[in-house]
Order: sequence, then structure tokens, then C-alpha cells
Amino acid sequence: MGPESGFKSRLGRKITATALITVAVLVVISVWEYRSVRSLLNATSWVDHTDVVISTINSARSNLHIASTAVQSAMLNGRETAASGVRDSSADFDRDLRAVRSLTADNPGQQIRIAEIDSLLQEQRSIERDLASLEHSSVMVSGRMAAKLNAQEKLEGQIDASLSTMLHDEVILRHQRTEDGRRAENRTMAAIALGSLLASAVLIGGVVIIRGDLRARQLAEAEVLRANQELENRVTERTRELAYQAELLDVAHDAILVRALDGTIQFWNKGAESIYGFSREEAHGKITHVQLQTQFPLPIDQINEVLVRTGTWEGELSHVRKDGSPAVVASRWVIQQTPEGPRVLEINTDITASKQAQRKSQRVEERFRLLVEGVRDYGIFLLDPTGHVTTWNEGAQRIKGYLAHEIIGRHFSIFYPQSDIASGKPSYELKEAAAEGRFEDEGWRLRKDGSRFWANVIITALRDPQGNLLGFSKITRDLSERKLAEDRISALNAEILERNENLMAVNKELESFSYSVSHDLRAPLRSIHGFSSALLEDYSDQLDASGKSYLQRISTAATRMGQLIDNMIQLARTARIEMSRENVNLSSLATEVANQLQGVDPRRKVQFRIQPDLHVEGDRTLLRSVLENLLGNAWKFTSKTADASIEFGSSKRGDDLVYFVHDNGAGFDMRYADKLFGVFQRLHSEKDYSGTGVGLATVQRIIQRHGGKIWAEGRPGEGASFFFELTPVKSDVTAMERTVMAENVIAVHKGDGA
Amino acid sequence: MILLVEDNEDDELLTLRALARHNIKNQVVVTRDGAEAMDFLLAQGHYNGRDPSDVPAMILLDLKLPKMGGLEVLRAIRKNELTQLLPVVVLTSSLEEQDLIRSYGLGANSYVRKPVDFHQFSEAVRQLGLYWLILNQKPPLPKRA
Repeated sequence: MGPESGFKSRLGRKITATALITVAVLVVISVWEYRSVRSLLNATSWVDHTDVVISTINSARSNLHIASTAVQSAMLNGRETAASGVRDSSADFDRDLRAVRSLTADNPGQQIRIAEIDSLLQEQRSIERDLASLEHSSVMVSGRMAAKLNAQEKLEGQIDASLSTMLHDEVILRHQRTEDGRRAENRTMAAIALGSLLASAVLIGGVVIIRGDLRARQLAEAEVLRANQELENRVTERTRELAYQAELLDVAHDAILVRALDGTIQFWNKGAESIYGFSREEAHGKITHVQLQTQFPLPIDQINEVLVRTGTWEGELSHVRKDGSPAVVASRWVIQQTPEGPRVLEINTDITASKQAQRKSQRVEERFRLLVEGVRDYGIFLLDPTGHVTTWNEGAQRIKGYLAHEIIGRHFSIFYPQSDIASGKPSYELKEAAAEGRFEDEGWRLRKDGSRFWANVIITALRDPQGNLLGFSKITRDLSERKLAEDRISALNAEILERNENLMAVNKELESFSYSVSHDLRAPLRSIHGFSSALLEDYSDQLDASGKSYLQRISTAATRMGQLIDNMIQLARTARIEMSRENVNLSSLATEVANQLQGVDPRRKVQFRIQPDLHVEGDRTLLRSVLENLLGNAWKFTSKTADASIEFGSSKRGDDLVYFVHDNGAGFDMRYADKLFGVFQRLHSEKDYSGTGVGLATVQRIIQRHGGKIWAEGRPGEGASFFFELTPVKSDVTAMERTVMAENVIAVHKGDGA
Repeated sequence: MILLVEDNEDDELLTLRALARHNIKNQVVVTRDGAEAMDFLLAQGHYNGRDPSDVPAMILLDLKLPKMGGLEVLRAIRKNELTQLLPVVVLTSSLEEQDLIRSYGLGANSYVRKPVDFHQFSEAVRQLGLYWLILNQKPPLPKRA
């Protein structure tokens, strides 16, 4: 409606303007034509005027000539008639001259010539009057009269020349004016033609413009109609789209809500209903953050500031659902400008579950981190792929002396001595770890204070599932103490080796010493004993009883010393000889020894009870010596016991198997138990029981060399028990355990009949 | 003939006494060291001109001898064709296992330890004489070219 009325008024204005312009053009053309015609008429009248002047001048000339002729004739013929003709002609001339004068009043050049003619005329008139006077005197005066006539004729010629000049000017003037008139005529003709043309052109232009406008108007109207149609289509389309979008918003799992700046909820989708539990009706018109008890990560003022400044805000919010359970959402706010004012579109994604999982994994990670950080004995830290420290634990701090903030970000080569850095060791280790997955090294490292420590280092490459190198873990142990211990041990070893060598040398000496002892010390004893015997045998008649007794004592002492030497050498040998390890049946060994003892002194009645099948691992010769000594002792110390019995067997003591030799002989006082096993220690007098005091020392040495121990129990007069342990033989343990002593003890009777 | 290789005069005297006590009348040649023993056996040196085929029925060899030890003597005896079959009784104070092993290894026919007790020593000598001089068959003499 508006555009159309605008268009109409514009059209009206155009028509009016066209008409006005046409009228104006016509008026201008008319004026112009009028003026052309006027100037044409003017030019024509000026031609006519010039014609009048020309004819008047011509008339004047002819009158002048007539008048002059009349004068001459009057002079020649009669006076009276001639005189009157002269008067008539002069009057005509004067009249003509007067006419010319008035006609050329606008022409100064002609006026000057007229003035000249006037003065010439005066002169002629005076001559004429002179002539007239002469006539009265008549003929006698003819000479003077002829002169006068000549002058008069001359004047007349002069006047005529002036008139002719005037005429000539006028003719030129007339020609000019005729030219002017023709030009005016042409102009007029042109003006009329041009005017008509212009008028036609203006009219045609006006019509064309108006027609064009009319056509444009029709087109515009059609356009408006089409646009209207399109608009209508778009509105329909948009409406459908909006309906579809609204449906989509409801399909979305996210909570989508539209709210005013103050939080008033204007829209609440199905997603919001399902996340929060509030229906659309319950939510509508409520204030969002009141309804959902929102907890913001930042003060709300700051959030709003960002929202207003940038148009959006994103962050995590904690909400409370209708059922009171907490919900964590990733929230995105966008400001929308609408004709009704700004509003906020809020899209909330429920991340409660993933958040909980994340928290859980964070807790696990945290626990793990605390574990690693708390480890004091190991420096555990991470390196980035180029070897810069990224984490630091307490162990690392303790071992290397750096605090976390002092070392994080620095390159791990700082832990290496200068010589290692120069030889490229740190980077070599990283390269190896990256290539092999793991690198282990032991070497000197530096603490913060520059002191060295001996470290065991394990570098492990860390890779993501795609195999990209993320960095390295490095575990460092301070082995300084171990290193010290190792150094000490190796020093000790060296010392032991040296001592061993010394001992071997000493042993060698001892060997030759004991060889000498056995060989060289016995020789004199043999001499003593031998020659004592020889004295007794050969010179008994020369010796009294006490002399013989002395010699007997010498012999006995020598024998005893020989025995001592032998036992000493045996003791030395048990400590020295190389031990073999084999399975030894102690039971059969004991039986052999028992038989041997019985064989030496068949008269004694001793009951032997020997547990069968006692097997041990050890040196047969040495173990035989043990049994010889223990059973020999038992044999010896039961020599004064009436009902002597000797028992060899084993019993369990805890996990260990203990062997024992028990007798019911003389026994001993427990106060001296610790002296039993000393060399040359004897608890009984030589007189009561012979012996050198070396046997038990030898036994103890042998048991010790087998890794066992020996001890004794006894009471004076109530017998003695010797117990010993040997390192058990695994393969025979079960066999030994199966042996039940009580059932298997056999009695070996060596009676007088044997 | 008995060859006694013994550097100890006491032992020599006691051995001779023991032999005498048991009426062993064989000639006893005493050499003081191993070298002398070998000279005697091979009829050389000091014993040059002796008939080497006159060999002892028993050699009583002490181990601990000056100049040339008993074991060396034993080795030399066993190496020489003339003496290699002769009965050698090692008679010594030593009870060292090594001595026993080496002596038997080198071909000793017997190893007897000298007891300190003269009566025991005498008995040992008696038994040795009884065995080697009477009971035992002497080895044949080597054939000489």
C-alpha cells in the first residue's frame, strides 16, 4: 500500500513536471519566435526607411539639378519665367533636404554631410541672389555673370557629390539592412522550426517517461506479489523447521533449556526432564539455578561477565536432581538476541558417571602416586622423551638430595659425573632404553652436594598403546652401602685368601712339623724304651728292685709319650686332611668298632645296643674315628661297671636328628662338661682310666668339620651320654624317620663265649 | 743276608738286638744312607768289587734318610733290573698316609711302623724275619749276560 501510493504520487509528480517543462519550453520558444519576428519586421522597416532616404536623396539631387538649370536658363532667356521655376525647384530641394535630415537623424555621418551641404547651399543661394541683381543691369554685365554662373555650377557639383556620397552610404546601409533582414528571417524560421521540434521532443519525452514509469510500476507490482508469495512459503517452511527442531531438541539426551538473563526458564526439553526429573510444567517460569541448586565453578558474577562479554560460557556445573541425587554436567551457555530481548540457551551434558569414573581413577592414580612418592628406598621419577625430569619422589629426594622444585624440568644428565657426560653415557642409556625397552646399569652418580654414590639404575621406556614414546621411568637405588659391603667383602676375601695362603704355608710347615714329630720324636723314645728294656734284660742281676722299677717307669713314660704323639698327630690330621663326602652307614660302622673293641678285650662283658640303618653323609674315615673314640671311651669308662651297656642310636630333637652314644660307666661331673672336649683335658686320673685327653678333642673337630655339634651329659657313677648332630642327608631323612628306635634296637652281646 | 738302611744308630742297635733275640742269624749289612745302600746293592763306589749277584733276602728300609731318601731308594731299586724284584720292607716311624700310598705305589712289599715299645718292636722284627727270610719264597736272580 505504502509503496504503491508512493509510486502514484511519484507518477503524478512526473506528469506534472513533464507538463510544466513542456509549457515552459513552449513559452521560451514563443518568446524567442516573437523576438525573431520582431527583429525581422524591424529589419524590414529599416530597409524601407533606407529606401525612403535613398529616394529622397535622389529627389533632392534631381531638384538641385532642375533648380540649377532653371537659374541658367533664366539668365539666358527671360527673367521672369525662369525666376519662378528657380524658386519652385529650390523649395523642393529644401524640402527634400529637410526630409533627409530628419530621416538620417540617427546617422551622425550623414548629418555631418548634410551640414556641409547646408553651408554649400548658403553659398550658392548667395550667388543666385547676385545673379538676380545682375539681370537688372542686363546684358552689360555678362562677364561677371558668367563667372558667377561658373561658381554656382561648381557649388552645385559639390552639393551633388555630397548627396551622391550620402546616397552611396545609404545604398550600402540598405544592403546591410537587407542582409540583416534576411538573417532575421532565417533566424525566425529556425526558431519556429526548433521551437516546434523542442516542444514535440519535450512532449514525446514526457510521454515516454510516463509510459516507462507505468511499465515499471506494473513490474514492481508483479515483483511484490511474487515476493509476498515467497515470504509466505518461507514462513511455512520455517514453521515446519522450527517444529522439527523442537522435536530434535526433545530427542537430544542433553538438557536443553532456554532462560531469560535472570534465569527464568522459558524452554525445557525432554532431555532436561530426564536428567533432572522436573517436568516441563514444573520447570517453566522457575529460576534455573534455584531449581537445580547449581554450584558454580566460579562466582556467578564472573561467569555472567564472561557470558555477556563473549556471548558464550562453558564449564562444569553441579546440580541436584529432583530426587536429590547429585548431577555433574558439562554446561554450555550461549546468549541469543531476540526481538523480545536477550536470552540464554543452556545445553547441559550429564557427565556424572564419567566424572565418578574419573574421580575413581584419579583416586587410584592418587593412591599410586602417593605410593610412589612415599617410597624412600628407591628414587622413582619420570623423564620426558628428551630426558628432562618431570616427577620426583621422596626416595629420589633422599638419595639425590634435590627437592622436587629444584630438579623438575632439568636434564637427568645432572646426576652423572662429568666423565660420563663427556662420553655421552646419559643419552646412550636413553637410546638403549628406547630401543630395548629397558636399560640397567650400575655406576657412580652424583648427589646435589656433588658427592658420589654407587647406584643401580633401571630406565624403562614408557609408550602409549600406539607405541609412541611418552618418556621414561627411572628407578635409582643407592647401593653405596651394598657397594661398601661388597668392597669390604672383597677386601675380606682378599684378606682371607692371603690368610689362607699363609695358613697353607703354615699348614705345610705343620705337616712337615708333624712328620718330623712322628718320625723324629718317636725315634728317641724308641731308644729310651729299647735300651731301658735292654738294661732290664741284660743287667737285671746288677740292679736292685728300685733300679728295675725306675727303668720300668722310664719305659712306661716313653710308651705313653709315643701314644701322646700319635694322638696329637691324629688330631692334627683330622683338622687338616681333605674331607670326602659319601653315604656312610653309621650303624654298621658302630658295629665294626664294637666288634673291634670286643676283639681286643674278649674277656669283658658289655652289652652293645646299636640302632640299625643310620645313614649320614660324611667322611667315612673321620666318622669311623668319631665312633672309635666315643665307643672306645664308653668301653673304657665302663670297664669297672658290673653290668656294662653301651648304646648307639638317634632321636629327634625338634627338626634335627641327634645321634647319641650312651653308657652306664663312670660318668662325669657336669661342672666340667665344657672341659671334656679340650685338648689334653682329662676328668679322670691316668691311674683309673688310661688316655691322652686328645680323643674327644679330635671327635669335636670332626663333628665341627661336618657342620654339626657335640655335647655331653653325665653324672659321676651314673654313666655318660654323648650327643652329636650332623648336617642331615635329605635323601635319607625319611628313611631315618621311618626307623623307630624302640622297635629296631638290637642288642649285640659279646659274651665270654665269643 | 739282610740289608738294613738306617741312619739312626740306636735304631740300628735295637734292630740288631731284636734280630739277635730271635736267633735270626742272617748276615746284616747296615748302610747309613740311601746312596750307600744303592752303592752296596749295585756293587759300586765304596762297594766296588762286591758280587752284585749276592743280593739281600730282605731290605729293611727307613724312609727318613740323609742324602737319598727311602722313597728314592725304593724307586731306584725298582728301576734297576738287578734289584727290581727284591723284597723291600719299609720300616719307619711315620704313619703318614702319604708315605703309605707312595711306598706301596713304588712297589714296597711291606710297610711296618716302628713301635716305641721295644717289646712290640722286637716282636715285629721277629715276625718280619720269620716271614721274609723263612716263609717267603725268594724271587729268582736276574739272568746276567
